[in-house]
Formats: sequence, structure tokens, C-alpha cells
Amino acid sequence: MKVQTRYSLLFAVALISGRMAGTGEAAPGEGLYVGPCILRPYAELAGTYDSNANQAPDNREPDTFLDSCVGLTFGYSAYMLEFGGHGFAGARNYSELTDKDFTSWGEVLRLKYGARDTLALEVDQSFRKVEDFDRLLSEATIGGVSPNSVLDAGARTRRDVNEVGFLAGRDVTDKLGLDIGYRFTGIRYEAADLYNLESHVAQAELMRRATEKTDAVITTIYGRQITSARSDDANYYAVRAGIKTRGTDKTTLKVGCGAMRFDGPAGMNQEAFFHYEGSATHRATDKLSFQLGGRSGVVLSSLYAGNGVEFDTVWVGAAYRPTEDLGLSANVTWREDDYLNPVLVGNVPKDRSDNGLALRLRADYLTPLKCARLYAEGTYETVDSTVVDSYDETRLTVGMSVQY
Amino acid sequence: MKRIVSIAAAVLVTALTGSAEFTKPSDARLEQAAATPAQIAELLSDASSEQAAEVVKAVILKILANHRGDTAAFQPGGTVESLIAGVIRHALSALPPDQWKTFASAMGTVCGNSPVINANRGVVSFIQGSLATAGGNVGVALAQSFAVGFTAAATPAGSVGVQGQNQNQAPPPLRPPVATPYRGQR
Repeated sequence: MKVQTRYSLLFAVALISGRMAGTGEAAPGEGLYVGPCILRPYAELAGTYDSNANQAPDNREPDTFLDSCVGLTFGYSAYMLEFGGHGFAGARNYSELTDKDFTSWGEVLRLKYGARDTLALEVDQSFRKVEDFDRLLSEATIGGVSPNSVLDAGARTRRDVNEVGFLAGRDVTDKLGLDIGYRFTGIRYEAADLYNLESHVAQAELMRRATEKTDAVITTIYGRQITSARSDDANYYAVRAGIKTRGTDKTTLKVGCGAMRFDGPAGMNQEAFFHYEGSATHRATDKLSFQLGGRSGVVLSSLYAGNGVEFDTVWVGAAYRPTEDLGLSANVTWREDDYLNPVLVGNVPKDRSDNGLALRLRADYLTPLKCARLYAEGTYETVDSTVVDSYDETRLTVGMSVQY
Repeated sequence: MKRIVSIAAAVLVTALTGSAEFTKPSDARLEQAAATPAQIAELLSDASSEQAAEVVKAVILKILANHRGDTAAFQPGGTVESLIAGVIRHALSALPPDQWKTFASAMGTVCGNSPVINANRGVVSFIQGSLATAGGNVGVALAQSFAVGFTAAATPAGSVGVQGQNQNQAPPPLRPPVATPYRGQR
């Protein structure tokens, strides 16, 4: 049975089981209740015009494609406990470039228990088989542990993504808090000439109340990175100091800076770098909010054996909700990749540096049916590189999702 | 690596053996408070802001479960809004005013994480409105803090379409593009 068919059945079963359970069914758009659990099946259809479907520098081939997807989110809430998950299966079908058609599927499970006064625990697990963008990427994050281990998780090629993580946090005293987290990320590419990557990251974060509204934060990170290209591993260390607001005002902020060191496999440069990570949200009014963030790190390359990439990424965005049913948002993301060692172009070693920029404008409209949502989205991305040819790509999408 | 694991284990043991004065309310007490909101004050004795928010969340979950399927109860001005308003009002009266802001912020976090509460936009509005009303002049700030709690830290992502379980979050920024010849350029 095809994965898509399997998930279509799952969608149907979820709907039917919810109805058969019949215990306190909510209105469409507010979920199905089976005992204390909520099930929210959804289906989605979107059409996209792509100005450069191959992301090619020359001979651009515009095309249109249809994305279809079914999914199910579920959750259970109780005193001190949250448990939830999300599964989806989808397909993309191009009008002309049909050899680029693909299917994707994935799941995320998340458990949270406790409170920081005693002990707060968070455990996540996710597997996704994806191509192009990864729709569950933002959900599969462990609180406090940044995904600065395998940035290529976002590379747009056929890949399996495995993630597991946990976080334990406690306010040891009125003024002192401690978080300890671990995150595993594994990326397995379908293309034989890309190197699979694995990363283990352990992080400890100490927070001390500095003022009524602010904590001083010290973060230490140890990472171990493994590539299928080599038998020896890379080690990554980072330490940063910063501040974190306590979330009681219009602006929430967490920012820190320090140093990081990357000890790559034999033959690779061992270097220390400036390190930073931060994010901020400013809620100007009930309807308008702004987001700003950025981080840096060093990761092994999936393209070159024995090479690493120092990356910087910064994003800024705004969201405006003029009415309860309409949401508008705009955001820009920039990223720079600097390879630690020169790369061979032909037989000539060259320094490689890539600059990428992505822009997204989006409107979401919740229809009077409440269970149906319409959206329109425009994205533009461009990449300049000292080694590979540059490209740009524009996508215009209109879509609809129906979520019970 | 072994050293990090050892330190982590030691901290976890210390954390687990710690004690707090606050006593977890029984399921029956939560149920009673869901029917009679005034009773929630007794459940918040010695509670920190976060513990109080967890208790209030648990009572709201009981209220939602008790009235599930009753469409009229979920309408603005209906039984559910009235009970939630009572729970918030009595919870605030049981907490010292200097704790209100952190309580509101904690409410934002725990409710933002709850897939059951998040599923119903009306309930989220009831909670926000109740905080604003019960907080008097501080109410606007309380509601603001509460709303901020729903906004998770931005993480670059590339999701298109359904934006996860939280209907109140703005879409995250796009994942930045990668300049490697991954797909079409090969």
C-alpha cells in the first residue's frame, strides 16, 4: 500500500473514530475528542508557480506544481502534562517536469511534564522523509537546544531526517535556574555523492536573575559530528553569555555571545570563532508583532569530505492580524556559509563562500466555516557563491487547508 | 562526553530530590473548582506563578471537558466564558499582585503548549479577556504578557500550509537557501 493511501486511510479513520466516539464532539475546526485526547485531521491542497524549478543559473525552466497533503495532529493535556504529535503524508506533482515529482511523509512526537519549580522534562522524537522544504522542521525543535548541528537538515534534496532530544530544567533557587539538554540529528541523503551527517549536541544553560525582569544566562555546548565520508569525528565546543527576559513585557529577548571551537577530522583546520545566538519578539499591539533572530555555528560539510562550514544566519519578520480571521506576515532570512578549507574547482583550490537570501510574504484567511483556511504566499530566494553559479527563484502559491 | 553525562546525571538527581511546599491538588479538587471557581483560591496556597498557571490550566481543561458538545455553552457570554472568568478572577485574588505578571506570562506558556486549549480560538479569547478584566488597569499588560507567551521564539523553517498546532503563532521565517548543487544543478 502506498504511503499516501495509507495516510488517506488514517485521515478517514481519525474522522470516523472521532464521530463514533461521539463524546463531546466540538464544532468543525476545533478538533475531535476521544476521551481526553484531541484529534485534528487535516487535508491541504496548494498550487504553485515556480519561476526556476531546477534552481538553475541558466536555462531556467518555469513550471507549476500541485502539493497535496493529509495529516493528523493529536494531543493530550492534563495537570503538568502535555503530549502531542503530528503526522503527515504528501505528494508533489509537476505539470511539465514530472521526473521531479515526489512524495514525503513524517511524524513528530512531543512530551512535556512538570514545572520548573520541581523539574520540567521535555522529550521529542521525529522522523521525516522529505524533499524540498521540510514542513515539520519548526516543530521538531527541542526547547533551549538549537539545531546548530546539522544545518543541512534544510537542504532541498531527498533526505531522511531523524531527530531525538530531551530537556530537563529546574529553578534550583528563586534566582537560579538550570537547563540541561541533548539533541541527536541524523541526515541520510538519497544521492550517493552527498555525505550523510550525524550530530550529538549536549547543552547546559545556567540562568541567574539579574533584575526583576531579566536573567543573566551562561550557555555551554559540546557537539560531536560524524560524516559518512570519514572514520574520524569532529568535536564542537561553544560557550556564550547573555541575557534573557522573563516574558512579562511586550518584548521578549534571549541573546548571548561568546566563542566556539571546531576540531575537525584530521587534515581540517582547527579554528575558534566568534559565536552568537539570539531571538527577540516584540508585540507592539494585539495585532502587530515583530521577530528578530540570528545564530552562528560550525558544521561538517555534506559536499566535501574533510571540510566544514562556518555559518551565520539572521532573520527578521513581522506579523499583522487586522482581524481575527486574517493574518499577514513578511519575513527575510539571510545566511552566509564559509568553508573552512579551500575546495577544489577542477584541480584548483578556491575559497568558497555562499550568501543566501530568502523573502516570504504570506496571507492566511480563516473562512467563516472556521475549519477551512485559505492562504496565499510569495517567496523569493537568491544565492551567490564564489564557486558555484548563482541562481534565484520565485514561487507564488495559493492553497487551502481544511482542519477538523 | 562521559564527564558531561556524569554532570547531567548529578544535576538531575539533585533536581529530583528537591522539595517544594506547594501540594498538587487532587483530581476531585480540580473538578470541584471547575464547577465552583471560588474554590480555586484554596488550591493555590504557596503556589509559584508557574504552579498556579498549571492548576488554572487543569481547571480550564475540566471546564472544557464538562461542557464539550454543548455549543451554546461555548458561545461568548455562555457558561464556559463565565466559568473561566471566575477561575481567573479568583486565581488572581489568591496571588499577590506582584506575581500577576509572571502568572499571566506562565499562563501564556502553559496554555500555548496545550493542544486542547489551543484548538479552540474562542477559549483562548475567553482566557485573555478574563485576565484583562480581572486585572483592572493592569489587565492590558496582563493580556499582553499572555499573548507574548503564545509566540514561540522564531526558528527558521520552510513549512508551507498548516502551521502546526498553535493557531496563534505567526508563521516562522523561511529556512535560508543553501547554495550547494543539491538537486537540479547536479
